[in-house]
Amino acid sequence: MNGEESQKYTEEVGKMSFEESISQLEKLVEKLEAGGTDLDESLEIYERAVILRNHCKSVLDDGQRRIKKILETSGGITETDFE
Amino acid sequence: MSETISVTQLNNRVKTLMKHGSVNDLWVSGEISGLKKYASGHYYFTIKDDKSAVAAVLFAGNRKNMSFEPKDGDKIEAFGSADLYGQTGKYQFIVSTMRHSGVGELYIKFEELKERLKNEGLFDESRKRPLPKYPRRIGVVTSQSGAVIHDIITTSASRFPADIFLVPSQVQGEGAAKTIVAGIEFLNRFGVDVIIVARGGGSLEDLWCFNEEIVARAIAASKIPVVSAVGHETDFTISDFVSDLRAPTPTGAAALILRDRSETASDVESLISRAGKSLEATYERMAGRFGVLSAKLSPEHALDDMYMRVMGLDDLAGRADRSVADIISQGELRLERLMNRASIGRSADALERRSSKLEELSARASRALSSASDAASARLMVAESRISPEKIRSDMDYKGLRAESACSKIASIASEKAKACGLRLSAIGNRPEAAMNNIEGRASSYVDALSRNLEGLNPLNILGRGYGLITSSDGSVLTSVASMPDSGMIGIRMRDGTAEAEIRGKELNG
Repeated sequence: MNGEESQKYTEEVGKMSFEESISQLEKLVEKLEAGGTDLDESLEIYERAVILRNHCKSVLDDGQRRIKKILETSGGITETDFE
Repeated sequence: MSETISVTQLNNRVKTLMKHGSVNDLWVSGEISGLKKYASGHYYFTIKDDKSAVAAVLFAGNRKNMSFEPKDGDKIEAFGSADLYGQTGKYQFIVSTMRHSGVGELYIKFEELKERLKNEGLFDESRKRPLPKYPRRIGVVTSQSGAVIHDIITTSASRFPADIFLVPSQVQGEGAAKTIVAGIEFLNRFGVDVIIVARGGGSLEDLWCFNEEIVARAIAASKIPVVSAVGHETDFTISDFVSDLRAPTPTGAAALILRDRSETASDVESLISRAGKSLEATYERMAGRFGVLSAKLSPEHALDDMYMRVMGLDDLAGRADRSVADIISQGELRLERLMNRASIGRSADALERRSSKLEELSARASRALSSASDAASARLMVAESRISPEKIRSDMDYKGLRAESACSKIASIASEKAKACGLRLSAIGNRPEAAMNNIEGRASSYVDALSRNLEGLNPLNILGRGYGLITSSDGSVLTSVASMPDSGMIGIRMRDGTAEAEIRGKELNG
């Protein structure tokens, strides 16, 4: 992949859920392991796999989670931090 | 006549009567009072209602049959049989188990609802939705004051990172079921990946709201999968049956829903390392193929090859030279032969021959002339008398002139022939030179072409096209600038070895 393609795929992956990206990653790994891809193709698949891995990793590493108390009132939904 | 029996006999008879009467294996409801627990573990107390009281005993061995510690004032239902204590003649109720009052009714309701919903198919396995493997948003319907929500928050901290949205609700008492239903419905509108309905341990009455039909129906109607985590592991509620997954405890729910974070991370890493290995294998496979070429393309081999080719070229050039020389020498030979054949000397010979022929002719002519003149003289002599001497002389002059003209004619033909021979000779002489030039030109362009081919085969040129891999410090292949670290060491893997390089900066295209 050239820089532009790689950036495009990174953006695409950025929009994926963790589940989607890990299942995509699994598919790519299986494709690589099945063989039958030439070096260029393998490299491209690997590049995609790395982008997916990085996405998964960033989700896992970002330990920031929100803990909110939510209430529904006539004024709408209110979210407040809960701890 | 009335018989007379002893007290013991009486008591025995009463005891026997009671054994066969309707005072066995039944539930008696009332309130506990005067409870005494002995060191033996037996409990002695009175069960009473508004009007009456009965002595009761719960033997230590039966305590395990019940789930609560009896105390004065407890409204209970006690299961057991009436029996007479012969020594005092008092009867007492022997309790084998006890439950809180009203629980019996609850049990009946529980069983009835469970049966009904089961028949409706609400508990069918086919209705169970799979939980999302990696939920990012978890909705929790539970009390905001209990330990439950904190247990869930604590347990999930080390697991897959998910946001937690608490919908505070009542989890016991009047109206609790309605707040739970509202919570489930609200979370369906709010949007989460999975819902936990949870409550800590308690008595059957405490947990009762999770056995109410409206809660069961709200769980069944939820578009979002619901995990039920109510009470302890031994407590079962209708919510447990109808939910998509029953967790033994609230802590267990968090553990069931969210995978361990480091485990997940290592799963991801193992996937990428499998990808890396596969890539490596593909690379090796290609390199194997490349190796065959590589043997041919190794600098040593290529040099050998080049030398071989240069030698071949030399050979060819030598052969070309030789054939040019051959052609030239052949040309020279032919030229010489032609020259010989057509040489001036030869022409001169021919001329000479022709001249001598001419001379011969001349001689013959002069002989003929002289013989003619002799004959003429003889005839003259014969006809001397008849012909005048002047006439004979003029006749002779005429004949001499004709001989002379024939002589010069022959000489000019000979000289023209010699000239034509000379022209052809020089044309032939030019031809080998042109052929030689042509051959030389072709040979030299062939040499040029071979040189260019050799240049193309130069392995340095091919490797110069950039067949190499950039690797990170851990050896995995880097395939884009984006995937490189911003600084630090990287490896360069070319066909013939590896090198280490340091990244000082990077710039992405576009």
